Amino acid sequence: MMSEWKDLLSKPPETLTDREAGRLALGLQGLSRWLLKPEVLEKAAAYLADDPIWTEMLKPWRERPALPQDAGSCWVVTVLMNAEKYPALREAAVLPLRWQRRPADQPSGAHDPRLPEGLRRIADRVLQQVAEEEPSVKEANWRLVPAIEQFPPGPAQELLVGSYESAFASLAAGLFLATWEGKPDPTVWATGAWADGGIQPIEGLPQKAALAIEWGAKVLFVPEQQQKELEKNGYFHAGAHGLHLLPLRAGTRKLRESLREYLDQLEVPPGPEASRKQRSAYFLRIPDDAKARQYYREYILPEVREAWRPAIHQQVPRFREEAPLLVSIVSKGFDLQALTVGVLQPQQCLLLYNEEMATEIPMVEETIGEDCALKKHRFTGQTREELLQEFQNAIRDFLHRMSGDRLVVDLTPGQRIMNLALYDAMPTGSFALVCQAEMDKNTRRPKPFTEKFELWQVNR
Amino acid sequence: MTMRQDWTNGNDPFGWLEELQEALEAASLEEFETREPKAVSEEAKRAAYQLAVALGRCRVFGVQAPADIDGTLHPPVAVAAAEVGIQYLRQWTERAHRLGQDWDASEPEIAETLCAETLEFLMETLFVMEALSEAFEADLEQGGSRDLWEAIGHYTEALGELDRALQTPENLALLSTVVRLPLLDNWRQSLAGDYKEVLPWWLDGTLEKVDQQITEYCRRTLPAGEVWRRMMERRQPSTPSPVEAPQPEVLVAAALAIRMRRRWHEMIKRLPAAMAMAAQPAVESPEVAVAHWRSPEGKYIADMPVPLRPVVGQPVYLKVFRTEDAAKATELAGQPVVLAGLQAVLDEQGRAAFSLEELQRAIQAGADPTLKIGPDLTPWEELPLEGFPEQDSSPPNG
Repeated sequence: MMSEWKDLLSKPPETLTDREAGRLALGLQGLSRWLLKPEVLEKAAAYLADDPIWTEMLKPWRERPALPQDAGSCWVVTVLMNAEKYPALREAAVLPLRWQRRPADQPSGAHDPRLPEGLRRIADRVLQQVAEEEPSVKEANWRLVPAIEQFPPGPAQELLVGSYESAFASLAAGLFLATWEGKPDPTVWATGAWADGGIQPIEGLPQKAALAIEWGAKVLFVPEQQQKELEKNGYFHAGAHGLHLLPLRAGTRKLRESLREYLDQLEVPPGPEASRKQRSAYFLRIPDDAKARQYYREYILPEVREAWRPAIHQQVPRFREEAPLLVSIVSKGFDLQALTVGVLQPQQCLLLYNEEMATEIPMVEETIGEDCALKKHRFTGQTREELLQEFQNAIRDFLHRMSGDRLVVDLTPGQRIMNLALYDAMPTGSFALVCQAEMDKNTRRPKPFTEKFELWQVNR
Repeated sequence: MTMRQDWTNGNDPFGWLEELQEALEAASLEEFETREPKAVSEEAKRAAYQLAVALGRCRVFGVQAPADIDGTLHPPVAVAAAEVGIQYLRQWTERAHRLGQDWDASEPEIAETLCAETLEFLMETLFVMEALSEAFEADLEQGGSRDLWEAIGHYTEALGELDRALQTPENLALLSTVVRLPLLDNWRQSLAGDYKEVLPWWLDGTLEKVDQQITEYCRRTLPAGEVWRRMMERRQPSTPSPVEAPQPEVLVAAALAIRMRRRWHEMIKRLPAAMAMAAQPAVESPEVAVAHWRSPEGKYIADMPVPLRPVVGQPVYLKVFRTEDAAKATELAGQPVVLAGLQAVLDEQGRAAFSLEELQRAIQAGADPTLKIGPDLTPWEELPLEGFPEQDSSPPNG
């Protein structure tokens, strides 16, 4: 059978009969859609599509296959070395794969033997390299398997012969994501080799970019050296097709650093259905603070609010009917205002800030401006007395003859002297609020779902 | 389930239980208990293979093993047995490719031994496959090991290579020389249960048929006595011998006699019940098996793609093509077709539609599965079925 495939693959698509194309497509099983040219698949469908039922059954051959999106999935794009010899094959192909974790009690195993040897070798190198930066990889016993149903054992080895050096970046990012249980975005592609402790240029970029465009990719990460070169020479106008070429950072020996932007774009943010652990880990992985804030507000804060609001309402039942007024010092770190506002849902918020904090105001306004009306007061005092005086005046104006028991003063953000002065400035009957959370050392962000709120009434 | 003969009361005429006992006592098998699978020695793997052979032989021949030596192979043992089995299959496949040369270079007795040994090894593959399948089924109940699934997949694949290498017309002709020995009959009589009903290709009459065709051909083409004598008198060194002359046609005849492990009618009996289109699970690739036939003179081939997950009311189409250029046999339009007793007519595209459900019913009722085409309803030779999985195509824990 193998020799028949070779004969058929050697024919230019236009000379293949429908039957021959059909034999090829059926023989290659699940690989057909990934390896055969669309015109060959069209002929294969014509061989079988005799009526509407068969036509419906053959839809997969007429549609572009979807890349896998579940945790552990990745895909590599390769220029097929035998494409010249076998014109029925695509010049470049994308191969969907999956990093699979074996149970701890099972022996460590090699990668799926149906995968081409070159790819398995790179997968071994990826495992070794990623394990240096992500120790959990060593323990988890990962192996690479094809993410294609009906993957034929026979022909794959030969048809998929190719250089897989450029698969390193995709496999490595896939493995990082797999360890984090992250899901990949099928519109984010990459191609890049790793050697001598850094990202290295690759071959066949035009074919790979063309394939990425065909598969609807929006971004293709390429080695930094090549991105510059391509842009300079105007060699490939990928942008014209809606494909953005972005760099895999060269010049660093840290793999994760090289892949940082790629990983950030590749990982699909875990939605509300994901576990707290997954969302929390993802939140702390987001490199960009603004993006992290947005993620927190969308996928973490609602749950924190749901957890704490009943407790607050139980403690102060009138807040259930009548939203409180909130006073808070602008936070310079992660936006604690958003957290407090999110949980308390005040009617109005007075933001106290000094010159140093002024730069944070637009961000705070953007973050919580939609949730409650904001008032701002700039203070200039340095000493306890000056601060106390300013805060007392600001609170009096803010309350505007309303009773103090409607006021909540957030003592979480700000320097200690400011907090103490603000505490002293609180009118009788008002409520003090402190939010505590474990902080992540690397990002200086609160670890989601460790938040705890303390609320008490000040009666002097 | 295989019916087993109870030969435990000391009645083990061929000593198969004794061999099973010996295989179980191999000291190196202990390594499977004490070492990681990767660290198991080659000797232990070979012992695992011998155990698979011995156990599978008891199953295939229906020998009931006493409880103290009965059981199924543990997954690591089965995987090792499959690995060794694959090595042997590759060696035998290489030998199959040069069987003709070895035959030519051997004395007649040795040549016959070559074929007998080949057939003995084929029996061995049957035993190993039985032991592996049993281990796989038992393991599935425990959740299934991907290693075992893959090992069996690779073993099956290597087995297919050997079958293909042996089913060439030339090799079938050579293997058919053993039909006069009691070997094949002995095996057939020893088979039990399913194996007795669905015979492997070397026991299903294929070799006997090849032998018969070769004998018939020789009888028809041998010169009469007077001519023979004159030929011998005139014989020059370069003159082809009478036995060389018919060889190409003998090979064609042998090729026509190839038998496969699965035939189309066995396959459609095993299809799942038809479902509504909307109820079909989404699949990445069409799941289709294709039955093939060849016309008596080899001018045409017929395909019948069959959906492995049929839809209610789905017809199947028999399509006839010219062998020469794989083009549709439009010139056969209007010719009658009979398949499993159902009648149809080839349309202008050389195609005939059948109701899959009617075909299934006809086959279940015992209709003759032979494809017949043309005004004389000439039988066509069935070729190997393609695309029908020998085992479940999805791995456990996949």
